[in-house]
Amino acid sequence: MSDELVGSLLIAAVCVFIFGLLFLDDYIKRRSQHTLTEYQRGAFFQKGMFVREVGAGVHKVLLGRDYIVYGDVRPISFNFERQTVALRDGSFAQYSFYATAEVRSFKAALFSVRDYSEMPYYILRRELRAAIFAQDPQNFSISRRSIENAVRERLGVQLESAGFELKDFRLTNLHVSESGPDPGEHDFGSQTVN
Amino acid sequence: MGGFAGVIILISLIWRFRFGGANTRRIIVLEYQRGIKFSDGKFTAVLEPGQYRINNKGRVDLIDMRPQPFLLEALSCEDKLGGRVVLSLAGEFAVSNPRLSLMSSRDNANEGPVLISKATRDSVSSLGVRDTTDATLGLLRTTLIERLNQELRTVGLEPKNIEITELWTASTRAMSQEFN
Repeated sequence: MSDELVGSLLIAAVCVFIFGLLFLDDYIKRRSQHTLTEYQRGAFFQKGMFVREVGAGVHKVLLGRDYIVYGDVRPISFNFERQTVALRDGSFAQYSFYATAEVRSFKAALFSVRDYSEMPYYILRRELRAAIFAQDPQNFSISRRSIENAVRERLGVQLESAGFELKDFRLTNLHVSESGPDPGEHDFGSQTVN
Repeated sequence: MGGFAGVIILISLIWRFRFGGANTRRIIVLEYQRGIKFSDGKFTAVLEPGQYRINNKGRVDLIDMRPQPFLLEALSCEDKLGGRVVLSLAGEFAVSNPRLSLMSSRDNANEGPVLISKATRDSVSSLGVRDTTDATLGLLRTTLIERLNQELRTVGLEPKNIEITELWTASTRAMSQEFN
């Protein structure tokens, strides 16, 4: 073997070694891990794109390439008392309800809205108000059960598309108030949510 | 030895430009985000989801493209004829123009409902809302969506799934009480 060839091989080996060291250094510095507890779920992203859902445990990530967005999947419960909604004939209805929802698909929940934990609250209030407003005031008392069933069905569909499952829902109170509060003098038990 | 030094310099250059060394940092833009890239403080690009390297002169602001739901409940307005109207509104808004959204408001999650509330009042005040029939609701909804599109577009947002969940007018109530 000529000296020239040995020299070239040596240079190549040194180059590979240095390059390997640099690469290893970069890799070691970027290595990290993420621990999720039993009540958490995560979405694993690689180069910005969703790859899979991850559950409880330790997950290795490479900083700058991988990313885990995690969230709480424990049930969310709501209880609202004495909410007021106008009916089509100008009278009012008062209602109370409670509900419990749980994250079914973390990916769907994460992508559906900016803060997924507020989604059940938003859907519940929207659907209930819309359903009661749409009712015929004359048949209101007899249609309470049908309102509850219709709302439960609609809630189930809406929540499912947002990655949730409706675990429990009940209209605990619903009645028409002929001499209801005047809008403007009463806040309808409402609040603005954003 | 000259060749050896040359190779070392070459490797350093490759390292500098391929991996960036200490002068760059990695940025990840997730699937539901967009990145607004600035270089020397000036806007240069909207980054799609992916992995990027940004040098020290660069900066990336991330914009969340997911919808933001809102509820406006029992909003009291005046119609064209001066009658009192109360309505509730539910829907979502999302970023349609990430750059404009970043430049025009500090926090579009808070800015959106304010603009929606303003657009709703404007829509009601441009109409005579005397009853709560389907025709009135339909007309109000159409006017409202048109107005919301105009208003939100100015800050890079767009309305979605807008629904009027409640409508009350003083005249309907008066008629109802008279009838009863």
